[in-house]
Amino acid sequence: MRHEITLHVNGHEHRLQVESHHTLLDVLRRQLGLTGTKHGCDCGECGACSIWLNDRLVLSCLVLAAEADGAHVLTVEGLAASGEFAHLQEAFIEHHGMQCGFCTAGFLMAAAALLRENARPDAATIRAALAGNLCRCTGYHGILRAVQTASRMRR
Amino acid sequence: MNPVRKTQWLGRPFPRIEAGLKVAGGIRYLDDMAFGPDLVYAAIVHSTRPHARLVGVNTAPAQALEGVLAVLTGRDVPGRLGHALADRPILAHDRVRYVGEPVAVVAAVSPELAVAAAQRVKVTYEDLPGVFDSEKALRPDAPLLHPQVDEYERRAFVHPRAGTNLAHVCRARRGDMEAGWQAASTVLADTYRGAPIQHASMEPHGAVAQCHPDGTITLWASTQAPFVQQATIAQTLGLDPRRLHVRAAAVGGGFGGKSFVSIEALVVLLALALPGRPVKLVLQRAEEFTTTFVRPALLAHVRMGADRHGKLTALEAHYVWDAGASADALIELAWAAALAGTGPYAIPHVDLTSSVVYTNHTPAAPMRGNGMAEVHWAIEQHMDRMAAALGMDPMSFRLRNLIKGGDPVWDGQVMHATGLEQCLRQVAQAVRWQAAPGKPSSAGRRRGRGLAVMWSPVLRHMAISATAVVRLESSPAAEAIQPVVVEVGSPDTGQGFATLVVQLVSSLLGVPPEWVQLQPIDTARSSFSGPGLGGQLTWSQGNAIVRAVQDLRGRLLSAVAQAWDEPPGALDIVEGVIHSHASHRSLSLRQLVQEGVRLADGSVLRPELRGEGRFEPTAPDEAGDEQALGVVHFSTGAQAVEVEVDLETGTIDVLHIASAFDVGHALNPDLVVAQIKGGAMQALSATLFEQVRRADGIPLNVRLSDYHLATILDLPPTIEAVVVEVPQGDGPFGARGVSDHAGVGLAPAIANAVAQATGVRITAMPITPEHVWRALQT
Repeated sequence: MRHEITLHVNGHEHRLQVESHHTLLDVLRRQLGLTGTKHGCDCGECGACSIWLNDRLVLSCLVLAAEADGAHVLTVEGLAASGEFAHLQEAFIEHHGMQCGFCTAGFLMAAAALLRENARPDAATIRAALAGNLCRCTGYHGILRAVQTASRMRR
Repeated sequence: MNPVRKTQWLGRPFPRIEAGLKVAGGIRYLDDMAFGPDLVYAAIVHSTRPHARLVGVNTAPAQALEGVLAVLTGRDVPGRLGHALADRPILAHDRVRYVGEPVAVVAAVSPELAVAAAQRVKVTYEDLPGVFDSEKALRPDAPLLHPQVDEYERRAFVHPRAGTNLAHVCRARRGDMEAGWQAASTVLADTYRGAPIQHASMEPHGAVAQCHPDGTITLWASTQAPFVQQATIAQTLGLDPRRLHVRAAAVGGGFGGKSFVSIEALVVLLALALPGRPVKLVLQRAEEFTTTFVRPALLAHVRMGADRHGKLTALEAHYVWDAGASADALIELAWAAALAGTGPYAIPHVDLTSSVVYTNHTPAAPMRGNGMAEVHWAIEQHMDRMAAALGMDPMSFRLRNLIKGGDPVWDGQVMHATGLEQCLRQVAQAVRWQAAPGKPSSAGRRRGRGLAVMWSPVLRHMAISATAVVRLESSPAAEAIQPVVVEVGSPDTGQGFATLVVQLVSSLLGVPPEWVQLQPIDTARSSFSGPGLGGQLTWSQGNAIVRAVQDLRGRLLSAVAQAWDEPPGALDIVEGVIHSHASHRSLSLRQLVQEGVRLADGSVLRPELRGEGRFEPTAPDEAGDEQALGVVHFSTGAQAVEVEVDLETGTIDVLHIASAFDVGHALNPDLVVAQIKGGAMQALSATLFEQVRRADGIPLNVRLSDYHLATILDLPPTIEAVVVEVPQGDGPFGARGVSDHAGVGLAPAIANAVAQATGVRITAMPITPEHVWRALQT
């Protein structure tokens, strides 16, 4: 079944035709060309597709596009364009919080969601907030350091 | 050229060149690339049986669906894939040999339709008895997977045994075993098991192929080895390799799982069937576990002897690798295990056998370390047990036996200079090896420390030549930079190799880093290079780049020297400008590219703006015995850990990891440290959590919620990396690789620490709480 929906993505409004089975991830990547959000497992187990939906961190592979009608979506492209978390992005570069980079968008969205709620999280809080994101390259050490550094730079 | 002076950007931290794109979601991996409205989507029909005769494949119900464009089966594809041993059908022929094997492949106008069509293909099987254990596979009455293995095409260093499941066996020997056992006062034998695990790169395998009107085919792939894929696929399909152009997309992790052909031949076949249309296949996560590759399970039988002074006298080991249904990807690994299967020790009498055995499992491929993590799991636990039997401290026992520069290795080969002992001392110091164990955090818990040393060979078999091209390109007048275009044949798979290329070229040529442009790899244009296996890119490809820059620089400077009537030695390039120390004249590279250089008679000289470099490793005399020609050099290192074990639950907390590797010369210390820490955590995950579980060939855990990967919660409170630098004689500025080796010693170090903490010895990976708990009950 086909649905007509409206999505506000990274500040832009889109009117879209979607099928019932299309996920938000499908629509972002295929219809809007926002490929920064990654497809790692398709069942909510790797975190690579993490985005913000109405200011909440969600796994976009587990959200049906039709359910998101009217919603505000922020992806890594929007996060980068806004500049609001440039210090977090810089910290990921400085501390080698990425190697292959495939999981990076998901980590950034999750880390940004944490820092917005809690400007000075301790290490245990950072770990808990990022426990749903898998990275096979970095061993997480650079990611943890990056988020700690970003939290100190913030204020 | 004076290499000491030309190291401006080398040996110091240099930021990743692509990092800014990566934190903005701007890197395009295979599945992110656009291929237009004609794009067709593929889906695989998998075998559901571990071993069966293929009675029939009925594709009619799939073909009846509107929007299905092609369905191919093994009847359409006669050949078998393999770069060393051609033993894997692209699509199953008369039988299936593992669950997940491609039986048919479908192309349709949408991904959903392709999957629906694949589900409608009806496959009829007649089950055959299966082989699910590498030891049982070697029994005389075992069912055979490849009865004609000796007739398959293969390279000279592959040795299958006809009429058995032994796909390849190789052996390395020195000394006289009888004498070795007689000299021993202590002899210990045991068996160790390494579990099958999955590479689990975050980016699944993906490929797109398109057949063009001129008959050429482009294959875009997430690959570590574009030239290997080109050669292997072209040979199997009977194509002229020049017709097949492989383009490497950005790679979202590989670890060895993308170093061979897995699914790429399937899309090439569909592209040939659907000329003009790009065909895309991106695997689902479950298919990664069943249809691509796994790290092989290892069965290691080890027998070791030492004299009363703690000197090793003899080692006999048999490494038995579970290849699954295809052994092709394990041939070099088996050789590495034979040629480095002693661990980094000087032992006079050695007999090592390495066997690759067919079973009805998903085909195996090396994963980070080319078998060394598995081999050291056995050797480095055995060393601790020998030390205990001899009443020696494990570190002292290792120090007494470590191989040193000048010690004999195989016939005609001696060990080169190595920082191995320094690595061991550094990690021991980091975990306070000499001090009393730390106090556990509560009663019912115990602390222990463990250490392990390692070495890893670069084999001549896999160190195929590397080449590089560096050229100056003209650019529009408005642009401020003079492009320096670099072509290599091996892709950056995330470790940061592209950054190293920029550092090398800008330093050696004398140009700003932002001028250097690394071309994406296309086998139609790029210079040939072997696969990025064994953590050797820095060394092999780095050497080729150094030579290419020297070639280009020589051409430029000799032309200008001729024009100015000066010796070339008076000239240098600094920040993109040629200067003369003698006459103080100068000429920018940009001007040289655009206008050439004017000779005294007014004519213009235009030097060739292109340099080429080729690196082929030298190894001991090839005319000799096979084992002597194998190893080009070894990388060495050591790892140590401190753990705390809960005696009631068997849970292990790793509190501290210290790793030290001799990298020769760290051309980018930050990237080296990132590799060492990341590799340690990947190894921690394999040691404590990972195992592809199966019941009679049926995979049981094919999703990431059932297959446990380490998360950030598992990161130890302290993880440190020590960089040791004993220059590699034939490395670029003395460098050798590190990425592959970074986890090799971790598993035995953890096992040794658990043994020290609890008194129980876990010989089968992974060291789960259940294994520890059960061992504690007996």
